[in-house]
Amino acid sequence: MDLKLIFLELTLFFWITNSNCQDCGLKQKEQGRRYSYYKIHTELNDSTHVIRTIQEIRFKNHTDIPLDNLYFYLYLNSFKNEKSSFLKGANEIFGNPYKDRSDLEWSDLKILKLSVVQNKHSADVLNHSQAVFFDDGNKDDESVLEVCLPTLFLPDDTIILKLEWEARIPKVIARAGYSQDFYLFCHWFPQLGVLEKNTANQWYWNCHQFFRSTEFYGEFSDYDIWIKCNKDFKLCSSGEFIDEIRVGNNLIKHYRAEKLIDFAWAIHKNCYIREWKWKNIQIRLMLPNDYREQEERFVATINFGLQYMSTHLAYYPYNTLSIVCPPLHALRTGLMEYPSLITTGSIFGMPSFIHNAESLIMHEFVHQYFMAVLANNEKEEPWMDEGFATYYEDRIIDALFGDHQSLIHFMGFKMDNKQLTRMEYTGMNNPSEGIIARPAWCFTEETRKAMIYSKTATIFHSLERIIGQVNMDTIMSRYYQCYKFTHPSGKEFMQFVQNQLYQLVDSSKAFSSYKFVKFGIYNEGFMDYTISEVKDSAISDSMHHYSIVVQNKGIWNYPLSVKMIFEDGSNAVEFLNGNISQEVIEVKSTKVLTKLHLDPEQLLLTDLNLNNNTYSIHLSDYASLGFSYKLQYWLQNITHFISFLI
Amino acid sequence: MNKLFDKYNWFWNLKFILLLYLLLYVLIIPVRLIWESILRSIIKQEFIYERLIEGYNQDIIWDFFSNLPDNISLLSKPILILIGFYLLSNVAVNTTLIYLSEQKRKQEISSVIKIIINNILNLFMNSVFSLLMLIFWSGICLYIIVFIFDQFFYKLPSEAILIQSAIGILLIMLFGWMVLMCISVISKKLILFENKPPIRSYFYAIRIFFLKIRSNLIAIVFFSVAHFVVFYIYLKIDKIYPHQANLGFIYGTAIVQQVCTLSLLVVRYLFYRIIPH
Repeated sequence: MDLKLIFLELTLFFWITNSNCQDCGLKQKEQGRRYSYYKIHTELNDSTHVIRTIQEIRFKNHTDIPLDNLYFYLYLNSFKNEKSSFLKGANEIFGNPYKDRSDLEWSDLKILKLSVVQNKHSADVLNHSQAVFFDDGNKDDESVLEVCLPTLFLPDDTIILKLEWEARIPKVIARAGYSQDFYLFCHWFPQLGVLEKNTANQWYWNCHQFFRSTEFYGEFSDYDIWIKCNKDFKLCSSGEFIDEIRVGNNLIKHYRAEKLIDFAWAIHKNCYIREWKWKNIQIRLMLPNDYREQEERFVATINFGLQYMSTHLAYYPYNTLSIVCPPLHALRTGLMEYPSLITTGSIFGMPSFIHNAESLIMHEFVHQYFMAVLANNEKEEPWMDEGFATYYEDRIIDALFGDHQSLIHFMGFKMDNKQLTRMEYTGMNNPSEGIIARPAWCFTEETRKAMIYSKTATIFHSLERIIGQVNMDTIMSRYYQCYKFTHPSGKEFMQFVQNQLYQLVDSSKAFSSYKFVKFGIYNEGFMDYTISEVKDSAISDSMHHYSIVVQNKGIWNYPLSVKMIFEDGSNAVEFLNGNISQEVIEVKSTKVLTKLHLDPEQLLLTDLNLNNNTYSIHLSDYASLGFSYKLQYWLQNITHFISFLI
Repeated sequence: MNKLFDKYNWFWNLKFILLLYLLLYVLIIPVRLIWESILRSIIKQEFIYERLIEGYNQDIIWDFFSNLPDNISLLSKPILILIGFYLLSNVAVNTTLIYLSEQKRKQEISSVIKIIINNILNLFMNSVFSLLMLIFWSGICLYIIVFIFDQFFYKLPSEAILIQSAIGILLIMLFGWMVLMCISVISKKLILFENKPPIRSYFYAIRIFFLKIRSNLIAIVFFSVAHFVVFYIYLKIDKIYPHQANLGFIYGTAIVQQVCTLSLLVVRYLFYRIIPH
């Protein structure tokens, strides 16, 4: 091989690596650091739905200041009564009523012992702990616990917390809970919040209360968990299975996990577990017995997702993956993501022409990257995980089942995932309502999904079309490599994207595409480009002078092209700045203009109406005629049928 | 079934059916024309049809319906009135077909109309009663489905049995619709040919249905299969798009649609002939 070529390649390699490192900044040094270790022994009494637990936490003060308190999440307390911040003011959760229940079906978490070992001295701190409610001031909310330490906890010191607690598991309202013989345990143990620096560069505990619209934010930790439950239960959990012993009718299973922000597990009796390996990854799928005919669909989808993400983003980050499909009666535990464990959802007899179950499973699977590894704050910046999970979910499902038909393909009606995502955004009552980059609790139930999930994903689908899939993949995989096992913020992500865009595409495109994304995420407003008028002031019989008026009904913009199609079939393209509400294109041509198409490649899926991007110089009768005949035909059939019945 | 092939003035009756079809077609034209003008005002100069010919595209359909101007509706009040009138005309034509199905000799059009007009009130009352029975039956079936889900969803370990039950009940409901349809036809024959009162004829018809259940079941099977075949053929033809937008193609599709509609009218006529009274 030519030495010059090798030298050139090496130079290029080091330049790229170096430029990436510059973007990563200090983040790479933080990757995968853990300051806490959890050792938990828990035992479930199925008849009373109570778990009794002995828990030990080793925690190192990684800050440069002494600490006098610790903060814990107590998610189960969100279901203690109707007054918690999670349930307050809601008659239904996820569309289901929850209030009609006995006292024993509410949760009840009691910490029986809580002591701290600091500098070899043990102190009981149970009486120095109290619920705090800084977010909403709701005194009845006990989802966050503050523990005051007897002495200052100095930087680089390690303390050991010893807890004994028991909790009655709620009949499921949301996520954690039981339904018949199915249990899901997520955020189930007292877990430390995240000790991090705020925007003023001061250390503080990021440990928000739980609300209906918020998910989770935890610190990377290591776990050793022993779970004791009846041997008839099948079990799926985060982490790796180590060993098990049988004690009478019970099994004690030991799991170990590293670098997880949470540890979840699920048990079910009326189910079976399919295990297989994808490369070196051990996969466990827990399916209700009646869903056996869907097993291969799940397996194929997961395998495809693993391969797709490995090719386009990064290799799957853990050694194990557990997929829990709860029975339909426990669906409120489903459709959620936890590190190395996801819950999905399906229904008996799910038709093969609907790929909803596959789509849901992919969404949760992608969260293994965006949330579990790139562990953004799901409570404060939910768009960073939900938006990307939706974006990749669309890509994977469309790649697996084909564009325009991946989600449903039945009797001529077809739709893909990307289209559904765009529909959710453009179908909003007010698509310019609010900005995406807000904490989850700022969204209403009506706008939450459309904004956080769908608008974000549609923006990134558009960006992908603008810069090309290869560049998009490059940016995202570099982002992943730089920020994996850290807590990236939206600001960091945007800065990273901006730098990458200038490296990968020309500066003009980098400028406008970054501006496009930034506006979409951080501003209110929509885009709806349209060709509002075309005038032909003929100069002579053989020379036409066309004035084409292009409008943007919104304030969100991007440079775009106009394709002009002439009578003889030839075409020409003009480029527009796109950043003013109205632009006029003047075209002089000897040819007769017949059609115009704004953004003909449909780069901007964020455009609220793609139909009005097209313009036919002569009034198009085909559409009105064709559609009206079709409507007439179906009206004839419906009325004939009704008259026939009576 | 033999009744289908007995001595009969087929040709004349088919001509009458064609006439009835044309009458219905004339009545639907105003609805289509209004729709056409509405669609033209919405679509204006966009060329969405040409893009749809390349294949169904949900983005196009979605953007079309989600950007309808506030003051425009495809089901405005005048259109609903026209559709209501069209539905009533359909009921009248249906009754005419029932009358025709029992005639072995050539009829004067005026005499057919006269008989229908003479019985119009009774036939109308009978249709309303049939509709009520249909709603009642559907209501019972749907209530059972809702009830079993409400009562057992959180108690059973699996939803499989509930879904299977619901599908079973829906099939029973559909079969019930067919039975009620037969009963409605029999009762109309009783009104037209035996001067039975409108409500009582319905109960007589129930008895007759079960007495001659074999013929009725054959009629139901024939009806279901024939409808399925016509519908299937239509969908197959509808799929064969030439990859261009032109008026010839649009009119061609419209002709196929109307041939299907006419075929269903003929199927209906044959169905009425099989049903005994």
